Amino acid sequence: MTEYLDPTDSVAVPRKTASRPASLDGKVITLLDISKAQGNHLLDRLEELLRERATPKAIIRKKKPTFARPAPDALRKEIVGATDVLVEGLAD
Amino acid sequence: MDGEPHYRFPPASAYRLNRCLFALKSDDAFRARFLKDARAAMRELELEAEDAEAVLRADRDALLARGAHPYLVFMADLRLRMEREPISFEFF
Amino acid sequence: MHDGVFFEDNGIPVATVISSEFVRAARAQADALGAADYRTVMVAHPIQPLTREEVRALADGAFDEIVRRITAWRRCRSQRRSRADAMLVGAFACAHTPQLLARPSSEDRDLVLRVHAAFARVKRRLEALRADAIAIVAGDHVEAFFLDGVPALAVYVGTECAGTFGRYRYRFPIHEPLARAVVEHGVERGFDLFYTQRAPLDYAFYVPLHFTMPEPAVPIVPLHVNVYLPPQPTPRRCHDWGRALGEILRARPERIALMASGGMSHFPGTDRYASPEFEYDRRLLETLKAGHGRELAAITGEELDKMGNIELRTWATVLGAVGDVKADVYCYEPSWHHGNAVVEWRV
Repeated sequence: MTEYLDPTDSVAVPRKTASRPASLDGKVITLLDISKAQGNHLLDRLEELLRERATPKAIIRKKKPTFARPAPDALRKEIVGATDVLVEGLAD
Repeated sequence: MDGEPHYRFPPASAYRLNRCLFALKSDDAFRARFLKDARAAMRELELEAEDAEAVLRADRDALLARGAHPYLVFMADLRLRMEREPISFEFF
Repeated sequence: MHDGVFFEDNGIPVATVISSEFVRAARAQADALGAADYRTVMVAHPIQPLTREEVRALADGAFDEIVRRITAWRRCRSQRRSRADAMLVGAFACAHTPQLLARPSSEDRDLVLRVHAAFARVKRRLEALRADAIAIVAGDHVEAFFLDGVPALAVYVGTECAGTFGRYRYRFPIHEPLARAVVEHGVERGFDLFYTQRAPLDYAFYVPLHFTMPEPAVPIVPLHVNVYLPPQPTPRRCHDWGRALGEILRARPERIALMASGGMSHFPGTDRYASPEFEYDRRLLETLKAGHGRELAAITGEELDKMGNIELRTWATVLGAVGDVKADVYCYEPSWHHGNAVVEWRV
């Protein structure tokens, strides 16, 4: 039986981040645009690369109304309900 | 060139010169300063006048004769060229 | 940070991409949220003045790290398994030519793709071998170690290692128990090893791992051999170190793959750049296919320098560990400036 480790952990210190899947294959990936300028270009390219190099089940694009505040509750709930993993950017 | 090694022990007298070439290769901020004002950047590293002139001329033979490491000469030149005239790459 | 921490708390792995300008603000926010260890994926700043193409290129460079941030690593296991499992499970040699990663138009695309195909075979082998860790032997290209301090043989023993190469940014967890065992047992066996918990990781380590890291990814132990700053350790010394390393790794509970990065003939920065010693490489590969790897130990440093093969010190190290096993050459692809080889030894 193989155990998997969260890479944001140091090996010695236990952490409460979400556990990671072994790979992105078959996973739903949300790309969240935090609404700072140029972020969409980064996420566009990421989406292309993810489609080329992985076989996700789906890639969902989402956008916060403003970078200045946390994402609205409704958006957060929607994402939690729909996605396996998330990439957010681009904070400058 | 027969008989002489391609890569030799860098003479200590060439330390500052090699330091400059290393910074051009690996230090993005130094390279940016050099591209704005090369003489000022080289003054930061206290290069001797003749070494500085050889760097400015990108005179490979002179640099090697003065004890520069061939790999550092090569890479400093490449990194500078990449800034001056963007070479297009296919990234994998 | 708020969103990222929220999603993590709700079971969603997150990779937050920020510019280096934003690092301090990100850290402050994370601390305020009680998520002091929360880490982000960093790209270069400034962002605003970049063209669309340049921003897209940032995505290329950060891609590996983003994926690794949201997928799992195999745990650094050190529980004892059955004797049969305690082993060095595989050994490889891979070119690390930068043009394989960032191809200029002067580099033959078909050749590059053939080398990639060989790398893909290595990756599949590592997965089939169920490696728990990769011990990768490479020569720093005057990146981590300048003339301020030149180690002959070094072991990276931090929790992780990271570096940049042009637009690529990379970070790997280090298999800490294994790294520590290598340095401790190495010293006991008479090798005066340099160790570092912090040095940056040269691209010579990154290029092979970019292509061959198995899925799920595994931690690594980077092992540096001085190849570029004379006087370098002799091939004999590297081979002896490799033999000790092989014994250390075979006594471990993990399944470990050993990889040499570097080679074959190339002469960067010299008059020979456009004329490597391809015939020498081919003859050497025949020697290795016959299982005569120990002949590499008897080669002098001068001969390696003459033949554009100073980097084969990393191969000499791996050969010390594998002994008389016959090499399986996946490819030898000579470009106009570099003999690109990918090899396996089925240990």
